[in-house]
Amino acid sequence: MSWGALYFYYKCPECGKLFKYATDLIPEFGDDFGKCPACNAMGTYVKEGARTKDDLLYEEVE
Amino acid sequence: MDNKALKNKTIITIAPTGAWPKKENNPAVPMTPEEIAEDVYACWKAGAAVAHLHMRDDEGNGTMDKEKFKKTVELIKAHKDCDIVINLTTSGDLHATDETRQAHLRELRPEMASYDCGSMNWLNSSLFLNPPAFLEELGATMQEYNVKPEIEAFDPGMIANAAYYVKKGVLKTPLHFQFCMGCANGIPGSVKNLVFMKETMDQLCPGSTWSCFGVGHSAMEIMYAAIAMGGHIRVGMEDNVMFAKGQLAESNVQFVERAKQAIELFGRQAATPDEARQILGLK
Repeated sequence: MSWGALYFYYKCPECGKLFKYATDLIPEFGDDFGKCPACNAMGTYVKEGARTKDDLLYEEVE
Repeated sequence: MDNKALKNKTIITIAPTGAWPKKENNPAVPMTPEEIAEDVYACWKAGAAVAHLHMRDDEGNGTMDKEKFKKTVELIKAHKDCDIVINLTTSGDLHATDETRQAHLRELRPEMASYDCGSMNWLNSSLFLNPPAFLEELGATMQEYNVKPEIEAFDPGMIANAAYYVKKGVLKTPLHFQFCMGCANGIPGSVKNLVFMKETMDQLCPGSTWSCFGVGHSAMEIMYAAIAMGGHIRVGMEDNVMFAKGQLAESNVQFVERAKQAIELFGRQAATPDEARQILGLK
């Protein structure tokens, strides 16, 4: 049984962009994990989950 | 077919449903016995040799309902030309009892079933429990009913645990592993980690066969690496509802077709179900 990747979903406090990071990329991103891909501001945590209903509204940061 | 010819074969396992994705995640996830059976048949025609099956209740939640398994397997076997290897989950519902996790094996005697070789946290929200007493009983059931365990390893410690159960007589060699990579709280999906998993397996359980999959962003990386390393691969909506970044999968067949194409581009061939049986020691 697998359960998909776990994502942290964020909203950028500066530009309003919605984005997400897979938690298994925490080692790769380090302190940059959670930053907005558009303006580099640290995102505001919204929720977490394995592809929530509105998943496609959030840009995946890789 | 001799062993040399089999070395050029890659087994594609289709995992069409799993326990978590629902229609709201991807409308193409098959949920009912009828949907799952037809999906498996189409995937077999596309090149899948093994079908790893989960069931859903009428609300779409994971269930170990023996009757659902029975109906699905019957519907698959109603296609007389379909000889796909049936691999049933033993972990389709986090709240199932030890008994319901094995009852379908005793009645249906599938050629394969999953054996999750340790406990862990599930999506940072619940527990995925596989306690020692359950694993010992499940190993005995599988031996008694001649069901080949597919050892699902979510981290290297689970490979070590498999070696422990071999020494104890709970598992019989040669083993077959499924490296489950990129699942939350398991080993992250990367080529480096896949090499480490394989080396750990070779050291602790020499002579084993292996397959793998990556969820999320690591899916393609793990698939290509497995083909190049001589392993086998698992694809399907249990592990990924997205076909590519930002693109929902249209069907499980789409995953199988891509896997077969990747195998052939590399210069290998997708194993037929009978070839998979020889590779896995099912015959």
